[in-house]
Amino acid sequence: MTGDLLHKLDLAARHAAPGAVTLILVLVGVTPTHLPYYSAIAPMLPLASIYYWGVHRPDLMPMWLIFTIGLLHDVLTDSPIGLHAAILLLCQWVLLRQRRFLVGRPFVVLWGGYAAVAVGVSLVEWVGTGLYDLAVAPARPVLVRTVLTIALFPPLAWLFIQVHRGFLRAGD
Amino acid sequence: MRVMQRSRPAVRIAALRAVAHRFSFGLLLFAAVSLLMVGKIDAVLVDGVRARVVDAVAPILDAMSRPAASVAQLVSEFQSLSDIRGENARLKQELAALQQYQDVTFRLEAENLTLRNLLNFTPDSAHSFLSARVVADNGGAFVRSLTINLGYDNGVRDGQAVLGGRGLIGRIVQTGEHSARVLLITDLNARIPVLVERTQQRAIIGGDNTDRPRLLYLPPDASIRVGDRIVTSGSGGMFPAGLPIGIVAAAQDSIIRVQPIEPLEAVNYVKIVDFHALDPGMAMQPAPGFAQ
Repeated sequence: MTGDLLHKLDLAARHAAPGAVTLILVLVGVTPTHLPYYSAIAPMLPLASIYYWGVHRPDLMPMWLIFTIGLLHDVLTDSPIGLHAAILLLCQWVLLRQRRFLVGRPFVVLWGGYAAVAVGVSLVEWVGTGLYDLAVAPARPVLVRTVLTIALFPPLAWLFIQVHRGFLRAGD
Repeated sequence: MRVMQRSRPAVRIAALRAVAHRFSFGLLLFAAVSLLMVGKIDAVLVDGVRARVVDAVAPILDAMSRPAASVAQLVSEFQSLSDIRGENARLKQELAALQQYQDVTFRLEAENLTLRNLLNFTPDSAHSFLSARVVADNGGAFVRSLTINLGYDNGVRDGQAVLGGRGLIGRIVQTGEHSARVLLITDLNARIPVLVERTQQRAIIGGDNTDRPRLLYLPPDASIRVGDRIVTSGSGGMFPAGLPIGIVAAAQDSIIRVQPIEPLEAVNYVKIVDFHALDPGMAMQPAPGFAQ
Protein backbone atom coordinates (compact mmCIF):
# COMPACT_ATOMS: atom_id res chain seq x y z
CA MET A 1 0.00 0.00 0.00
CA THR A 2 2.78 2.43 1.00
CA GLY A 3 4.67 1.40 -2.08
CA ASP A 4 1.64 2.21 -4.19
CA LEU A 5 1.34 5.68 -2.65
CA LEU A 6 5.04 6.37 -3.10
CA HIS A 7 4.79 5.24 -6.68
CA LYS A 8 1.86 7.58 -7.26
CA LEU A 9 3.73 10.49 -5.66
CA ASP A 10 6.78 9.72 -7.74
CA LEU A 11 4.69 9.62 -10.89
CA ALA A 12 2.95 12.89 -10.02
CA ALA A 13 6.31 14.59 -9.48
CA ARG A 14 7.60 13.25 -12.78
CA HIS A 15 4.46 14.36 -14.57
CA ALA A 16 4.87 17.87 -13.15
CA ALA A 17 8.25 18.25 -14.88
CA PRO A 18 7.01 19.81 -18.17
CA GLY A 19 4.92 22.40 -16.34
CA ALA A 20 7.75 23.16 -13.92
CA VAL A 21 10.27 23.62 -16.73
CA THR A 22 7.89 26.03 -18.47
CA LEU A 23 7.32 28.05 -15.29
CA ILE A 24 11.06 28.27 -14.69
CA LEU A 25 11.54 29.55 -18.23
CA VAL A 26 8.95 32.29 -17.60
CA LEU A 27 10.99 33.40 -14.57
CA VAL A 28 14.33 33.13 -16.39
CA GLY A 29 12.84 35.26 -19.17
CA VAL A 30 12.50 38.28 -16.88
CA THR A 31 15.80 37.90 -15.02
CA PRO A 32 17.97 40.96 -15.75
CA THR A 33 20.86 39.90 -18.01
CA HIS A 34 22.77 43.21 -17.98
CA LEU A 35 23.44 42.73 -21.68
CA PRO A 36 23.18 45.90 -23.74
CA TYR A 37 20.00 46.13 -25.86
CA TYR A 38 18.97 42.63 -24.76
CA SER A 39 15.79 43.60 -22.96
CA ALA A 40 14.24 45.08 -26.11
CA ILE A 41 14.66 41.81 -27.99
CA ALA A 42 14.34 39.32 -25.13
CA PRO A 43 13.11 36.05 -26.68
CA MET A 44 9.93 34.35 -25.50
CA LEU A 45 11.47 31.34 -23.76
CA PRO A 46 8.33 29.55 -22.49
CA LEU A 47 6.99 29.23 -26.05
CA ALA A 48 9.64 26.61 -26.86
CA SER A 49 8.56 24.58 -23.85
CA ILE A 50 4.84 24.85 -24.70
CA TYR A 51 5.67 23.71 -28.23
CA TYR A 52 7.93 20.80 -27.28
CA TRP A 53 5.55 19.33 -24.70
CA GLY A 54 2.55 20.15 -26.86
CA VAL A 55 4.02 17.92 -29.54
CA HIS A 56 5.45 15.14 -27.37
CA ARG A 57 3.38 14.98 -24.18
CA PRO A 58 0.23 17.09 -24.57
CA ASP A 59 -1.38 15.00 -21.81
CA LEU A 60 1.01 16.62 -19.30
CA MET A 61 0.18 20.17 -20.43
CA PRO A 62 -3.53 20.55 -19.70
CA MET A 63 -5.25 23.73 -20.86
CA TRP A 64 -5.62 25.12 -17.32
CA LEU A 65 -1.85 24.85 -16.81
CA ILE A 66 -1.18 26.65 -20.07
CA PHE A 67 -3.69 29.33 -19.07
CA THR A 68 -1.93 29.80 -15.71
CA ILE A 69 1.51 29.96 -17.32
CA GLY A 70 0.23 32.53 -19.83
CA LEU A 71 -1.22 34.67 -17.04
CA LEU A 72 2.03 34.58 -15.06
CA HIS A 73 3.91 35.53 -18.21
CA ASP A 74 1.53 38.48 -18.73
CA VAL A 75 1.90 39.66 -15.15
CA LEU A 76 5.70 39.47 -15.16
CA THR A 77 6.30 40.93 -18.60
CA ASP A 78 3.73 43.72 -18.15
CA SER A 79 1.76 42.55 -21.15
CA PRO A 80 -1.98 43.13 -21.15
CA ILE A 81 -3.31 40.49 -18.71
CA GLY A 82 -4.81 37.62 -20.67
CA LEU A 83 -2.98 38.25 -23.93
CA HIS A 84 -0.37 35.50 -23.61
CA ALA A 85 -2.85 33.24 -21.85
CA ALA A 86 -4.98 33.45 -25.00
CA ILE A 87 -1.98 33.15 -27.33
CA LEU A 88 -0.58 30.06 -25.59
CA LEU A 89 -4.02 28.43 -25.47
CA LEU A 90 -4.39 28.97 -29.21
CA CYS A 91 -0.89 27.53 -29.73
CA GLN A 92 -1.82 24.40 -27.83
CA TRP A 93 -5.08 24.13 -29.75
CA VAL A 94 -3.20 24.29 -33.05
CA LEU A 95 -0.54 21.85 -31.81
CA LEU A 96 -3.11 19.28 -30.71
CA ARG A 97 -4.39 19.24 -34.28
CA GLN A 98 -1.00 19.23 -36.00
CA ARG A 99 1.16 17.17 -33.66
CA ARG A 100 0.77 13.90 -35.56
CA PHE A 101 2.60 15.53 -38.47
CA LEU A 102 5.45 16.47 -36.13
CA VAL A 103 5.94 13.47 -33.83
CA GLY A 104 8.84 11.28 -34.85
CA ARG A 105 9.96 13.52 -37.70
CA PRO A 106 13.56 14.80 -38.06
CA PHE A 107 14.55 17.66 -35.79
CA VAL A 108 14.64 20.16 -38.67
CA VAL A 109 10.92 19.57 -39.31
CA LEU A 110 10.19 20.11 -35.63
CA TRP A 111 12.23 23.31 -35.72
CA GLY A 112 10.43 24.48 -38.86
CA GLY A 113 7.09 23.93 -37.15
CA TYR A 114 8.32 25.92 -34.18
CA ALA A 115 9.43 28.76 -36.46
CA ALA A 116 5.94 28.92 -37.97
CA VAL A 117 4.37 28.99 -34.50
CA ALA A 118 6.80 31.69 -33.30
CA VAL A 119 6.08 33.91 -36.30
CA GLY A 120 2.35 33.50 -35.74
CA VAL A 121 2.70 34.29 -32.03
CA SER A 122 4.75 37.43 -32.71
CA LEU A 123 2.19 38.63 -35.22
CA VAL A 124 -0.70 38.12 -32.78
CA GLU A 125 1.35 39.78 -30.01
CA TRP A 126 2.11 42.76 -32.21
CA VAL A 127 -1.47 43.24 -33.35
CA GLY A 128 -2.85 42.49 -29.87
CA THR A 129 -0.60 44.98 -28.06
CA GLY A 130 -1.19 47.54 -30.79
CA LEU A 131 -4.96 47.28 -30.39
CA TYR A 132 -4.71 47.29 -26.60
CA ASP A 133 -2.43 50.34 -26.35
CA LEU A 134 -3.79 52.00 -29.51
CA ALA A 135 -0.20 52.51 -30.61
CA VAL A 136 2.16 50.86 -33.04
CA ALA A 137 5.20 49.21 -31.46
CA PRO A 138 8.35 49.49 -33.62
CA ALA A 139 8.53 46.42 -35.84
CA ARG A 140 12.30 45.86 -35.88
CA PRO A 141 12.77 44.76 -32.24
CA VAL A 142 9.76 42.44 -32.68
CA LEU A 143 11.40 40.95 -35.76
CA VAL A 144 14.75 40.45 -34.01
CA ARG A 145 12.96 38.97 -31.01
CA THR A 146 11.15 36.50 -33.25
CA VAL A 147 14.41 35.43 -34.94
CA LEU A 148 16.07 35.07 -31.52
CA THR A 149 13.11 33.05 -30.21
CA ILE A 150 13.45 30.68 -33.18
CA ALA A 151 17.25 30.51 -32.96
CA LEU A 152 17.15 29.51 -29.29
CA PHE A 153 14.97 26.48 -29.96
CA PRO A 154 17.76 23.88 -30.46
CA PRO A 155 19.50 24.45 -27.08
CA LEU A 156 16.15 24.61 -25.30
CA ALA A 157 14.95 21.49 -27.12
CA TRP A 158 18.12 19.72 -25.95
CA LEU A 159 17.18 20.67 -22.39
CA PHE A 160 13.62 19.38 -22.86
CA ILE A 161 14.91 16.13 -24.33
CA GLN A 162 17.09 15.64 -21.23
CA VAL A 163 14.07 16.27 -18.99
CA HIS A 164 11.97 14.00 -21.17
CA ARG A 165 14.47 11.14 -20.97
CA GLY A 166 15.37 11.70 -17.33
CA PHE A 167 11.92 12.11 -15.83
CA LEU A 168 9.39 10.57 -18.15
CA ARG A 169 9.40 7.03 -19.39
CA ALA A 170 7.35 5.82 -22.27
CA GLY A 171 3.97 4.55 -21.09
CA ASP A 172 4.02 6.51 -17.82
CA MET B 1 -11.70 -9.93 -12.18
CA ARG B 2 -10.00 -6.90 -10.74
CA VAL B 3 -9.59 -5.42 -14.17
CA MET B 4 -13.31 -5.78 -14.78
CA GLN B 5 -14.15 -3.93 -11.55
CA ARG B 6 -11.96 -1.01 -12.34
CA SER B 7 -12.79 -0.62 -15.96
CA ARG B 8 -16.27 0.90 -15.64
CA PRO B 9 -15.46 3.87 -13.39
CA ALA B 10 -12.27 4.34 -15.37
CA VAL B 11 -14.25 4.64 -18.58
CA ARG B 12 -16.63 7.07 -16.94
CA ILE B 13 -13.78 9.20 -15.63
CA ALA B 14 -12.18 9.14 -19.04
CA ALA B 15 -15.44 10.28 -20.63
CA LEU B 16 -15.80 13.08 -18.08
CA ARG B 17 -12.24 14.10 -18.73
CA ALA B 18 -12.85 14.21 -22.45
CA VAL B 19 -15.86 16.50 -21.95
CA ALA B 20 -13.91 18.76 -19.57
CA HIS B 21 -11.05 18.80 -22.01
CA ARG B 22 -13.30 19.69 -24.93
CA PHE B 23 -14.82 22.64 -23.12
CA SER B 24 -11.77 23.75 -21.14
CA PHE B 25 -10.16 25.30 -24.21
CA GLY B 26 -13.21 27.39 -25.06
CA LEU B 27 -13.88 28.41 -21.46
CA LEU B 28 -10.29 29.34 -20.73
CA LEU B 29 -9.97 31.26 -23.98
CA PHE B 30 -13.14 33.12 -23.06
CA ALA B 31 -11.67 33.82 -19.61
CA ALA B 32 -8.45 35.16 -21.15
CA VAL B 33 -10.30 37.49 -23.52
CA SER B 34 -12.56 38.63 -20.67
CA LEU B 35 -9.50 39.42 -18.57
CA LEU B 36 -8.14 41.50 -21.44
CA MET B 37 -11.38 43.47 -21.52
CA VAL B 38 -11.47 43.89 -17.74
CA GLY B 39 -7.87 45.14 -17.86
CA LYS B 40 -8.84 47.73 -20.44
CA ILE B 41 -11.93 48.87 -18.52
CA ASP B 42 -10.67 48.73 -14.92
CA ALA B 43 -6.91 49.15 -15.06
CA VAL B 44 -6.70 49.95 -11.33
CA LEU B 45 -8.20 46.60 -10.32
CA VAL B 46 -5.93 44.64 -12.65
CA ASP B 47 -2.87 46.61 -11.52
CA GLY B 48 -3.70 45.74 -7.92
CA VAL B 49 -3.86 42.04 -8.73
CA ARG B 50 -0.68 42.32 -10.79
CA ALA B 51 1.13 43.98 -7.87
CA ARG B 52 0.09 41.14 -5.52
CA VAL B 53 1.30 38.45 -7.89
CA VAL B 54 4.61 40.23 -8.46
CA ASP B 55 4.89 40.61 -4.67
CA ALA B 56 4.52 36.86 -4.26
CA VAL B 57 7.08 36.06 -6.96
CA ALA B 58 9.52 38.84 -6.02
CA PRO B 59 11.61 36.72 -3.58
CA ILE B 60 12.17 34.12 -6.31
CA LEU B 61 13.04 36.81 -8.85
CA ASP B 62 15.37 38.38 -6.31
CA ALA B 63 17.20 35.09 -5.79
CA MET B 64 17.37 34.39 -9.52
CA SER B 65 18.69 37.82 -10.42
CA ARG B 66 21.67 37.56 -8.06
CA PRO B 67 23.80 35.05 -10.02
CA ALA B 68 23.25 37.03 -13.24
CA ALA B 69 24.26 40.23 -11.46
CA SER B 70 27.38 38.54 -10.04
CA VAL B 71 28.45 37.28 -13.46
CA ALA B 72 27.89 40.73 -14.98
CA GLN B 73 29.96 42.29 -12.19
CA LEU B 74 32.76 39.76 -12.66
CA VAL B 75 32.88 40.45 -16.40
CA SER B 76 32.98 44.20 -15.89
CA GLU B 77 35.72 43.82 -13.26
CA PHE B 78 37.86 41.82 -15.67
CA GLN B 79 37.25 44.42 -18.35
CA SER B 80 38.33 47.24 -16.06
CA LEU B 81 41.40 45.27 -14.91
CA SER B 82 42.60 44.83 -18.47
CA ASP B 83 42.49 48.56 -19.07
CA ILE B 84 43.59 49.82 -15.69
CA ARG B 85 46.47 52.01 -16.93
CA GLY B 86 44.47 53.73 -19.63
CA GLU B 87 41.62 54.24 -17.19
CA ASN B 88 43.96 55.81 -14.64
CA ALA B 89 45.31 58.30 -17.18
CA ARG B 90 41.81 59.16 -18.30
CA LEU B 91 40.60 59.65 -14.72
CA LYS B 92 43.52 61.97 -13.94
CA GLN B 93 42.61 64.11 -16.92
CA GLU B 94 38.98 64.10 -15.92
CA LEU B 95 39.88 65.02 -12.35
CA ALA B 96 41.83 68.05 -13.51
CA ALA B 97 38.87 69.21 -15.57
CA LEU B 98 36.42 68.57 -12.73
CA GLN B 99 38.53 70.55 -10.26
CA GLN B 100 38.08 73.58 -12.47
CA TYR B 101 34.35 72.92 -12.53
CA GLN B 102 34.36 72.60 -8.77
CA ASP B 103 35.79 76.11 -8.40
CA VAL B 104 33.10 77.43 -10.70
CA THR B 105 30.42 75.51 -8.79
CA PHE B 106 31.48 76.92 -5.43
CA ARG B 107 31.43 80.44 -6.84
CA LEU B 108 28.01 79.92 -8.45
CA GLU B 109 26.58 78.32 -5.32
CA ALA B 110 27.63 81.29 -3.21
CA GLU B 111 26.22 83.69 -5.79
CA ASN B 112 23.01 81.67 -6.00
CA LEU B 113 22.58 81.71 -2.25
CA THR B 114 23.08 85.46 -2.09
CA LEU B 115 20.57 86.04 -4.89
CA ARG B 116 18.03 83.68 -3.33
CA ASN B 117 18.32 85.52 -0.05
CA LEU B 118 17.81 88.79 -1.89
CA LEU B 119 14.65 87.44 -3.57
CA ASN B 120 13.38 85.75 -0.42
CA PHE B 121 13.12 82.55 -2.51
CA THR B 122 11.47 79.44 -1.03
CA PRO B 123 13.36 76.36 -2.11
CA ASP B 124 11.73 73.08 -3.09
CA SER B 125 11.07 70.92 -0.09
CA ALA B 126 13.91 68.63 0.80
CA HIS B 127 13.70 65.16 -0.68
CA SER B 128 15.14 61.90 0.49
CA PHE B 129 16.23 58.81 -1.41
CA LEU B 130 15.54 55.11 -1.18
CA SER B 131 17.91 52.64 -2.80
CA ALA B 132 16.51 49.51 -4.42
CA ARG B 133 17.80 46.57 -6.41
CA VAL B 134 16.47 45.65 -9.84
CA VAL B 135 15.12 42.09 -9.58
CA ALA B 136 13.43 41.72 -12.95
CA ASP B 137 13.69 43.27 -16.35
CA ASN B 138 10.09 43.01 -17.55
CA GLY B 139 10.88 44.72 -20.78
CA GLY B 140 10.48 43.28 -24.21
CA ALA B 141 9.70 44.49 -27.64
CA PHE B 142 6.39 45.88 -26.36
CA VAL B 143 7.05 47.25 -22.86
CA ARG B 144 9.99 48.88 -21.10
CA SER B 145 9.86 48.40 -17.36
CA LEU B 146 11.75 47.02 -14.37
CA THR B 147 10.73 45.42 -11.08
CA ILE B 148 12.51 46.54 -7.91
CA ASN B 149 12.70 44.91 -4.49
CA LEU B 150 11.13 47.72 -2.43
CA GLY B 151 7.44 48.46 -2.13
CA TYR B 152 4.76 50.28 -0.18
CA ASP B 153 6.09 49.00 3.15
CA ASN B 154 9.42 50.65 2.41
CA GLY B 155 7.88 54.00 1.51
CA VAL B 156 7.66 53.61 -2.26
CA ARG B 157 4.60 55.31 -3.75
CA ASP B 158 3.12 55.54 -7.24
CA GLY B 159 4.46 58.44 -9.28
CA GLN B 160 7.82 58.79 -7.55
CA ALA B 161 10.84 59.53 -9.72
CA VAL B 162 13.42 56.77 -10.16
CA LEU B 163 17.08 57.59 -10.75
CA GLY B 164 20.00 55.52 -11.89
CA GLY B 165 23.51 56.56 -10.92
CA ARG B 166 23.47 59.63 -13.16
CA GLY B 167 19.99 60.57 -14.16
CA LEU B 168 16.27 59.91 -14.31
CA ILE B 169 15.34 56.49 -15.69
CA GLY B 170 11.59 56.38 -15.05
CA ARG B 171 8.85 56.52 -12.48
CA ILE B 172 6.97 54.16 -10.19
CA VAL B 173 3.70 53.03 -11.76
CA GLN B 174 2.65 50.17 -9.52
CA THR B 175 3.47 49.35 -5.91
CA GLY B 176 3.07 46.09 -4.08
CA GLU B 177 4.02 45.58 -0.46
CA HIS B 178 7.58 44.47 -1.16
CA SER B 179 7.99 45.20 -4.84
CA ALA B 180 7.29 47.96 -7.31
CA ARG B 181 7.27 48.43 -11.04
CA VAL B 182 9.26 51.18 -12.75
CA LEU B 183 8.05 52.42 -16.13
CA LEU B 184 11.18 53.47 -18.04
CA ILE B 185 11.33 56.77 -19.93
CA THR B 186 11.68 54.78 -23.16
CA ASP B 187 8.31 53.02 -22.77
CA LEU B 188 5.53 53.74 -25.22
CA ASN B 189 3.32 55.11 -22.44
CA ALA B 190 5.90 57.24 -20.61
CA ARG B 191 5.35 61.03 -20.68
CA ILE B 192 7.43 63.34 -18.47
CA PRO B 193 7.44 67.16 -18.43
CA VAL B 194 10.95 68.41 -19.17
CA LEU B 195 12.99 71.53 -19.80
CA VAL B 196 15.70 72.17 -22.37
CA GLU B 197 18.36 73.47 -20.05
CA ARG B 198 20.02 75.91 -22.46
CA THR B 199 16.87 77.66 -23.65
CA GLN B 200 14.54 76.95 -20.69
CA GLN B 201 12.03 75.71 -23.29
CA ARG B 202 9.37 73.44 -21.82
CA ALA B 203 8.45 70.17 -23.51
CA ILE B 204 7.35 66.60 -22.83
CA ILE B 205 9.65 63.64 -23.24
CA GLY B 206 7.76 60.67 -24.63
CA GLY B 207 9.03 57.13 -25.18
CA ASP B 208 8.17 55.00 -28.20
CA ASN B 209 9.86 51.73 -27.18
CA THR B 210 13.05 52.69 -29.00
CA ASP B 211 16.25 53.41 -27.07
CA ARG B 212 15.94 57.14 -27.66
CA PRO B 213 12.72 58.82 -26.50
CA ARG B 214 11.32 61.79 -28.41
CA LEU B 215 10.88 65.40 -27.37
CA LEU B 216 7.23 66.34 -27.92
CA TYR B 217 5.10 69.49 -27.93
CA LEU B 218 7.83 71.93 -28.86
CA PRO B 219 6.82 75.11 -30.68
CA PRO B 220 7.95 75.18 -34.32
CA ASP B 221 10.41 78.01 -33.64
CA ALA B 222 12.15 76.29 -30.73
CA SER B 223 15.89 76.14 -31.33
CA ILE B 224 17.14 72.76 -30.24
CA ARG B 225 20.72 71.71 -30.89
CA VAL B 226 22.36 68.35 -30.71
CA GLY B 227 24.04 68.19 -27.30
CA ASP B 228 21.42 70.20 -25.40
CA ARG B 229 20.82 68.81 -21.92
CA ILE B 230 17.25 67.77 -21.02
CA VAL B 231 16.19 67.92 -17.36
CA THR B 232 12.88 67.47 -15.52
CA SER B 233 10.86 70.67 -15.31
CA GLY B 234 8.98 69.81 -12.14
CA SER B 235 5.67 70.73 -13.80
CA GLY B 236 2.83 68.77 -12.33
CA GLY B 237 4.52 68.56 -8.94
CA MET B 238 5.36 64.86 -9.26
CA PHE B 239 9.10 65.21 -9.74
CA PRO B 240 11.69 67.58 -8.36
CA ALA B 241 12.87 70.03 -11.03
CA GLY B 242 16.31 69.73 -12.58
CA LEU B 243 16.89 65.97 -12.56
CA PRO B 244 19.07 65.20 -15.60
CA ILE B 245 17.43 62.91 -18.17
CA GLY B 246 19.47 62.97 -21.34
CA ILE B 247 21.15 64.79 -24.15
CA VAL B 248 19.66 65.69 -27.51
CA ALA B 249 21.19 63.17 -29.90
CA ALA B 250 19.40 63.95 -33.14
CA ALA B 251 17.33 66.94 -34.24
CA GLN B 252 16.05 66.41 -37.75
CA ASP B 253 12.99 68.31 -38.94
CA SER B 254 10.42 68.02 -36.18
CA ILE B 255 11.71 64.75 -34.72
CA ILE B 256 14.02 65.34 -31.81
CA ARG B 257 15.50 62.31 -30.09
CA VAL B 258 17.09 62.26 -26.66
CA GLN B 259 19.86 59.90 -25.63
CA PRO B 260 19.24 58.95 -21.97
CA ILE B 261 22.16 59.82 -19.69
CA GLU B 262 21.75 56.51 -17.92
CA PRO B 263 22.40 53.33 -19.95
CA LEU B 264 18.99 51.81 -19.22
CA GLU B 265 19.94 48.24 -20.05
CA ALA B 266 22.66 48.07 -17.41
CA VAL B 267 20.81 49.42 -14.40
CA ASN B 268 21.49 47.29 -11.34
CA TYR B 269 20.50 49.57 -8.50
CA VAL B 270 18.15 52.53 -8.54
CA LYS B 271 17.37 55.49 -6.29
CA ILE B 272 13.76 56.44 -5.64
CA VAL B 273 13.14 60.10 -4.90
CA ASP B 274 10.72 60.73 -2.06
CA PHE B 275 9.56 64.18 -3.03
CA HIS B 276 6.69 66.38 -1.94
CA ALA B 277 6.11 69.64 -3.74
CA LEU B 278 5.50 72.48 -1.29
CA ASP B 279 2.31 73.58 -3.01
CA PRO B 280 1.04 71.16 -5.61
CA GLY B 281 -1.69 73.65 -6.55
CA MET B 282 0.91 76.12 -7.71
CA ALA B 283 2.84 73.53 -9.65
CA MET B 284 -0.27 72.33 -11.47
CA GLN B 285 -0.85 75.73 -13.06
CA PRO B 286 0.44 76.01 -16.61
CA ALA B 287 3.69 77.86 -16.61
CA PRO B 288 4.14 80.81 -18.98
CA GLY B 289 5.78 79.82 -22.23
CA PHE B 290 4.55 76.25 -22.13
CA ALA B 291 3.70 75.29 -25.66
CA GLN B 292 0.23 73.92 -26.45
